[in-house]
Amino acid sequence: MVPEDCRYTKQHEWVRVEGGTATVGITDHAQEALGDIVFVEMPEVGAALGAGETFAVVESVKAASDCFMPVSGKISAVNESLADSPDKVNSDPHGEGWLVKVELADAAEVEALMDAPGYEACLKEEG
Amino acid sequence: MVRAATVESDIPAMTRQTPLHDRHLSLGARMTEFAGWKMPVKYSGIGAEHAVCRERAAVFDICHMGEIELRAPDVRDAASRIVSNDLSDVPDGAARYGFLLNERGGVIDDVITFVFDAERAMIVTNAANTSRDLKEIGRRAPDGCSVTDLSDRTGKIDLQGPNSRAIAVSVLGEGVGALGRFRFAEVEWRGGRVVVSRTGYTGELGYELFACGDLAVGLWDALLEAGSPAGLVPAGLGARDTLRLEAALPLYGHELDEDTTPFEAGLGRFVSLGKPQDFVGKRALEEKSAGAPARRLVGLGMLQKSVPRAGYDVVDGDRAVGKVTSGTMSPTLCRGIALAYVEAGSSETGRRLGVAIRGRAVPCEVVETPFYDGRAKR
Repeated sequence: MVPEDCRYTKQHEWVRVEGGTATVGITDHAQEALGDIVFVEMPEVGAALGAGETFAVVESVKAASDCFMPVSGKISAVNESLADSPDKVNSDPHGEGWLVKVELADAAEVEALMDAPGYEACLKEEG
Repeated sequence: MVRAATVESDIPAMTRQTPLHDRHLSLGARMTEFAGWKMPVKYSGIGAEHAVCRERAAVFDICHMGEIELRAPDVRDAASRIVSNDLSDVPDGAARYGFLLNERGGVIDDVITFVFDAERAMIVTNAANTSRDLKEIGRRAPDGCSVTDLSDRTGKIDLQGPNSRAIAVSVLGEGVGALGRFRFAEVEWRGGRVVVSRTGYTGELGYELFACGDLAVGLWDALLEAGSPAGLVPAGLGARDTLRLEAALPLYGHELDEDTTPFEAGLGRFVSLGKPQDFVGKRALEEKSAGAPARRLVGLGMLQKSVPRAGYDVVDGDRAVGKVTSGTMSPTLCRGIALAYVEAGSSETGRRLGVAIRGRAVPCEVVETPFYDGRAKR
């Protein structure tokens, strides 16, 4: 089962809320599909983005893939350690491989996302 | 996040399989479709396989490439009418890199021609071009020269890396240890024959091994077993590409195509305009050899962490001056590297240019190639 303390999007992003701050990353399914991640293009800290907007681009050997905001908000931090170790996204996608932190614009948006069982079901459908 | 991977079920049913297919599945390879073949992209991971090849050794299934045999009373002469090389003084057991050209001097395929003896040669072709090459070679072969497609019955395994010589010797015998670069030998092994050539596509010490179907499977198994103490791993097409790009070796369809001459690619030394034999493309290249080409293939090193990719524009200030043909994050150098065609006027080593990545011109510089020289470390 994917981490229960997160919410998920159909595009394989996860979000974990602690207080008013959300941490966002990509799921284990996504990193596995992408293969070795070699570079992550991060947003500017302070950028205000809406749900569904591209906030980062994850580059694997073969392709560049957009990451979409699961919720609206202002980017309050980016994971600087990925500049030297982008492989953390592969080895620990829910932990050290987090991508950005977001000051939530509207906490209710998180509730509208899939929970862990919902995402698991979604993965089974995808096959 | 866009679903990036090709899963086994995405591969069209008519796609061909190499004799090693079951081995890849047992090893947990991720498979993909390439040039009409099911091929392994990776086993443990592209980065890991790349690193082991540079530090120890790796084996690659390259059975999809083509092998076309020529037989003639004077096969060096016959072959010199077909490919760009002058093969007249190539010794028995030596190979030469060159091109099959079209009328405009553009590249139909880049090939390696193996001269066995006065009467027998073999041209090794890229998988995607084998059928086309066969037709062209058949058309151009002089009377008395037979052309036989051996591709379906010939497997190829590449063994590359600093430990590759020791592994090759332990499996195939002392004889192969003495082979110089671009030299080959045909050795007896388990009742069959293996052609062992000191060639490759990684920039490392290494070998290409040609054996027919069943023997190739036995050879793969024997290499993995004998090579295990030396750290040998299987590696897929993903690592093959990052390795060749660090070595700045061209890939057909990227750096070479029918609209590109060897001169533009900086590979004019593999075209003999002075040989007595006429060949398709000779006249066009004679005309073109008068002046320097308008565009040149150069190496680019990114100055900010970023990944240049094929098709991205190259800019000089605010002018578009070229296009990237291949790019990647170099696993060894930890920097973005690319090959690109650039207007001659913007192509000198050290020139600061930009690669347009998602709308932004990311700074880069023209660098000498190869980006990494595996053989120089010994």
